[in-house]
Amino acid sequence: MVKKDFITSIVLIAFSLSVVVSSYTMPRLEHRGIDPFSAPGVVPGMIGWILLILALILFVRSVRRGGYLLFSSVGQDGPRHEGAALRVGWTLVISLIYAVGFLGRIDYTLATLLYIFVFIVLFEYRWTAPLSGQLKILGYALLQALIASFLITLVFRKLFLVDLP
Amino acid sequence: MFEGLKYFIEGLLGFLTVRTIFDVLWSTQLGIIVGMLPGLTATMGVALMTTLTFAMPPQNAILILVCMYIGAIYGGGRSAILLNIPGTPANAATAMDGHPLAMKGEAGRAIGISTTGSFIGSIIGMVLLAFCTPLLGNFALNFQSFEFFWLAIFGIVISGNLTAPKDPIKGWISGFLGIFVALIGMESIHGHVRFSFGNTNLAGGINLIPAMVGAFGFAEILSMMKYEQVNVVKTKIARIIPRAAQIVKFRKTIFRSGLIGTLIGAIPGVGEDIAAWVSYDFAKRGSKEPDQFGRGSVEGLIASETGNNAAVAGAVIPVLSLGIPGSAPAAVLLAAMFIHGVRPGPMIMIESPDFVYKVVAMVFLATCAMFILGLSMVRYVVKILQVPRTKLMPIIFTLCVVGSFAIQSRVFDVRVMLFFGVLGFLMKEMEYPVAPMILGLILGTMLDTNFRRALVIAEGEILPFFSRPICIVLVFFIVVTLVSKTKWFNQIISRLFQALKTLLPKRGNHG
Repeated sequence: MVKKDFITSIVLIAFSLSVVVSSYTMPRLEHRGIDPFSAPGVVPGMIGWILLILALILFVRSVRRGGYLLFSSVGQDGPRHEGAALRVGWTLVISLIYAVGFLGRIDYTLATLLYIFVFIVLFEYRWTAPLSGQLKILGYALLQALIASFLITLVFRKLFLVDLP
Repeated sequence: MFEGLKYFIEGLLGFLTVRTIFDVLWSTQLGIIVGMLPGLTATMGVALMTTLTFAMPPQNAILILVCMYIGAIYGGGRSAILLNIPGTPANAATAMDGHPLAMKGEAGRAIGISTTGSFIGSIIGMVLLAFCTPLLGNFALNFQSFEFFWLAIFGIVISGNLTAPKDPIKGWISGFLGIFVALIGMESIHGHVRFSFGNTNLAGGINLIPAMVGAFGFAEILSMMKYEQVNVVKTKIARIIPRAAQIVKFRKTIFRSGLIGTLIGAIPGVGEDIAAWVSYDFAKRGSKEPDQFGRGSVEGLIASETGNNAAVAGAVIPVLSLGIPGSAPAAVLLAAMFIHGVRPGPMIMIESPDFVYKVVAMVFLATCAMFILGLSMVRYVVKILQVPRTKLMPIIFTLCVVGSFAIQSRVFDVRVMLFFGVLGFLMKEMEYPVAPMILGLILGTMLDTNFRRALVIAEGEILPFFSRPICIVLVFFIVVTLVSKTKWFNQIISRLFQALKTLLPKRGNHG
């Protein structure tokens, strides 16, 4: 964790410095005759300073514990879950394609159907095994995607009168 | 006091219609299912339900949210007992003894005990909610901008401290990041737009609901997909209704856990998970059989379940009296109250005291529904746990999208949800708690407005921030919280105790 702390502390230092600078350069609205203590940059500046101090503490602590030795075995975390990054990566990619790429561009029910189907197939289909033995997985995935997408559309639109993207 | 009782009875009678009882039953059952399913938390359930109940009358909507909240916190215990995976973070302590009991073939007994514990805990919390909210609300009427500023800082500091006990700095960073997020958009004093970079959507500020759906929903989906499929343990569920003698035997533990749970729940941004662990810890210390804890101790199970459900009502106390949430789901509840035109805070006991007791009646109805549903249909409902996550997660994500979109019909809110989902996931990976960030998002405006207002009142003087009586108390607690985890502070405290120990017998000898 010390390596992660080292990296995040640098990101946080950069972020908090940018907050401090931008709050300092924020208009003080003097031309409107407002009290300088109520200027819009007062609180962002204070929060920026607090974050900077906390990030510096984190930075110093991680350096002391050897967090800057990024390619050594110092502070190595526990065993990694096999394929975890790949599973999270795929989940993220297809979810972003659905939420940013599909919604608002194609019909909601169709987009949802595609998303659910692809999600199930991606994680349940065994890509090394022959297709013939896995038709059931594809069939069930399509059936679930069909039922879920139509039900969600129906329930939200008709029962709860909610707008859908 | 009797006026409060009158309001409570009136509120309760007002809810006793077929439609309302139906709403109570389905929303509590849905809450139990949401809580049971790992990956679906109470926060997400309440956030999604806020979207669904958007078009309903305020009272019905808030009642459904309270039922969802109580049901979900209770329901999480089911998966903790049967799968050793807490359905919500609040049920982590439940798994410690609940699962060993299930492994011994006593799953039904464990579910029955957890249901009874949750019921009693919720009732204790409800009683304290009814008594403490008016007291705290009336006390908060003395608060001015100086006190509200310190209260916001206190909330962040204590929430950061308790949600990241190993490394409070990360909790505080999370909280102050949340405050920064709240500062994005148009500020309330001069109408100046901050940190929007010319984006009109950002100028409107970051909405709480999409941020929470992302941080507690999408982030949870990503976390769940990290792991391989979990095998469902097939356990026999026999007798569920617990024996009265067993409950009476642990009456002290139940009462203590109820009080602790409510108190921890009432601390801003801390929540049910900490309440359950603290109750569990106290029960272990006070137990005659502490070695049984972690091996299927009924006392441990009852302590954690009483504690977490008591914390639900506890978390509502600061929501109603101060306008500050006690936990993450309570934060959504607070946001939902604002959406429905209810303005909780110190003025609530003056403007609409009846609403406070209506919320008490809602908690009562939800608790009764939880008890009845918790002891019935158990064998059928637990079958939902067998649904694989690969089938469940895409549906949850589509609900996250709809939930964040529906409040204002803006695609921007879906992007906010995605951003906070990824941020929440990364924060979890880096061991930063998410709850203080959400608390910061809520308290940010309060802190911003009150700090600047106080500075104007004091003409730039800092002294009033430290000289007013309530400020002194708040500053004292903030400083103690900040230094409590440092080595030198603990050394000083232990030396003080040693000095006291050596002094006391001497006094005794002289006396």
